[in-house]
Amino acid sequence: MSHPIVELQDVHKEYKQGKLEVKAVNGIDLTIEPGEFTAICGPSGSGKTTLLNLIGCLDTPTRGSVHVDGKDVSRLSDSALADLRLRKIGFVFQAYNLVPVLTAFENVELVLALQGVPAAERKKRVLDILDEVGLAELRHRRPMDMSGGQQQRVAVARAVVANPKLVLADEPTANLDSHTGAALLQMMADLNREHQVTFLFSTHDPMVMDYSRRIVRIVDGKISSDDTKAHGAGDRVPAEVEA
Amino acid sequence: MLLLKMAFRNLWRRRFRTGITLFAIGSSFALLLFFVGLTEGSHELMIDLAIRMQAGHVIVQAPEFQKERALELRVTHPEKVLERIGTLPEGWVVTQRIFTTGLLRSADGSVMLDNLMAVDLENEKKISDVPRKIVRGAWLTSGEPGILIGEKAARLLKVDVGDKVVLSCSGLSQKVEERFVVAGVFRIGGDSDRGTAMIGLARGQALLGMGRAISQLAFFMPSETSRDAARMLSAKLADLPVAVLHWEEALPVLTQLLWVDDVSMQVFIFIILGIVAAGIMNTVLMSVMERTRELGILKSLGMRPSSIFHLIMTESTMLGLLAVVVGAAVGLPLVYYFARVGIDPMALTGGEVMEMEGIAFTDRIHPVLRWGSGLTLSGIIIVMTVLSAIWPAFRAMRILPVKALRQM
Ligand SMILES: Nc1ncnc2c1ncn2[C@@H]1O[C@H](COP(=O)(O)OP(=O)(O)OP(=O)(O)O)[C@@H](O)[C@H]1O
Ligand SMILES: [Mg+2]
Repeated sequence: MSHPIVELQDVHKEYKQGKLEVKAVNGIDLTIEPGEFTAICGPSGSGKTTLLNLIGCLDTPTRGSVHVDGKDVSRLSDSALADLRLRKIGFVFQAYNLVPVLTAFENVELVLALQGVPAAERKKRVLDILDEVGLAELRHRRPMDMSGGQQQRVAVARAVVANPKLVLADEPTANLDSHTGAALLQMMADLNREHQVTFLFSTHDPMVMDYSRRIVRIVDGKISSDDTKAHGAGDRVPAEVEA
Repeated sequence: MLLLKMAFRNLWRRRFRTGITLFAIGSSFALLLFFVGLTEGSHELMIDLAIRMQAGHVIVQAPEFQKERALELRVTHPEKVLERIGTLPEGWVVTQRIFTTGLLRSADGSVMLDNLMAVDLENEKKISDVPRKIVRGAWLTSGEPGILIGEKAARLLKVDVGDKVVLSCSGLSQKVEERFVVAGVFRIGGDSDRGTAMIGLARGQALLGMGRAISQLAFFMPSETSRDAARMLSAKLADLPVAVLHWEEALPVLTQLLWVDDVSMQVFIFIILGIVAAGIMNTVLMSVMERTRELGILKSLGMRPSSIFHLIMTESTMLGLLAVVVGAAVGLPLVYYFARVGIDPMALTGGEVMEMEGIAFTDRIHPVLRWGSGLTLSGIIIVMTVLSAIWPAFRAMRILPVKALRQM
């Protein structure tokens, strides 16, 4: 059947800060299956961002192996990694995600353009996804003319527009008020349920944990617990949707 | 397409900074256009004047005459030379001259003539600068014992149009002396107004005992064809005892000076371009550095390093193109304006008359800008802008997303 999207085996990442060696990630094994909606949580400095960057092929481990969609990424060149990110992974960062000189539409379109999707098809797909995240009206706005929440929605739209295997979101709600954050999470939960987009978050926001079905806790670069629930807060039952 | 859009908009993110950079590159370009135009214009003027007064586009003379301007180093049978050439091509003029020295006297004084010319009155008039510069009197008429002298000479001799002067010089075989009437007084500027005088060719030949001999045949033609003409004349006159010289060989001091001037112009251009390049590099580097996070995000989205490089290069290419447009918009009207009204050479030298090979340059200089030079300069500016962006673009390409994303 389908293989895991992410497979980490005994992954270590050390940073040298002067003479000091920081073990940001210290021996992590982790598997992410298609369709997951998972949060990595832990205190500040526990290695969440580092872990996400390793999974997202933005960084390479000092030890251990990272497989993304069955491929060992340690052997790939910079361009090949760029290609892998382009085709298989979507990113949402904490804030200031968007290219300021491009409109909402163009920001989303950029990923498809980089993939070489023809203009007509691009237009349709971008409009579809902007509609889905509720921003079709604002498509001609530049990031600075949108609220933080709207910007994050565009960032999510951009992350999912090319149907990636995995969307990595590093503290996507950190700069949003709880109401806006909840709406964003609900939107991602809908995308997860309706389009089977796999999401992996890093966060210390309890609300993100509420919405997640699996919560991986890390402390000092090590996994301390890994719990799975039957439902996340965003998994609406049909009755709720009608109400 | 989207990349082009991005590049173009990025250029206008910092309007003020981009504006300043555009202004700097643009005005340097305009300055260079003007400077190159001025140099080319003054060179043309110098060449033109020197050729008219001292030589021709191509000259034919005795082989050693170039080394020593002695009367006996002559072309004894100019008619044979002309016969060999046959009908002159359309647009050509040929004039015959004798160059010598002499002493001019009046009741009130005397003047050494270091450039006494006996000239073919009809043809010399077509090409010489002197007719234009006669301030009193008129050009010589054949059959009359007229002489044209410079303004300073006239003052020293206390003579004017219609007065008699005595010219003494060394003829081919003996010292000779003859009375002349001042037919005209010219003002060319500089020492020429004292030491240069002109008489008719026939009268000169008789006076000096030259028979039909002359010092020089000077050919004039459209200047761009002069090299071919020199080759053609060399070939046709190969077996005659004459030398065929292109003006560049005939006027070595001028040629040398033009060369030095060209080199210093290139050095000047080089320095200006260097300064501009440093400015561009700084601007582009700054714009890359302040966009570190954004470029990091583009890379994490999957934009290839090469595309990032492209993006920055595209931005600076646009900057270069725009700067050329701006520079041309300022520089071309400037050149055009001065090309029409001209520039007083005294303004450039600080009131001094520039003289070379006995020729004073007092005419207004009209900058000349050729398509070739303009396009070459534009090309250089654009290429230089692009080159100065390579290092910043390379830095942009090497930005590590992990580090970039930690910057907020
Ligand atoms: N580029 C780097 N150079 C040196 N040390 C680093 C670097 N990146 C991360 N670290 C260190 O590694 C450790 C883990 O950092 P990381 O950013 O992964 O933690 P985090 O869990 O994301 O924290 P936060 O919740 O504050 O975002 C920290 O001690 C951090 O200082
Ligand atoms: Mg973090």
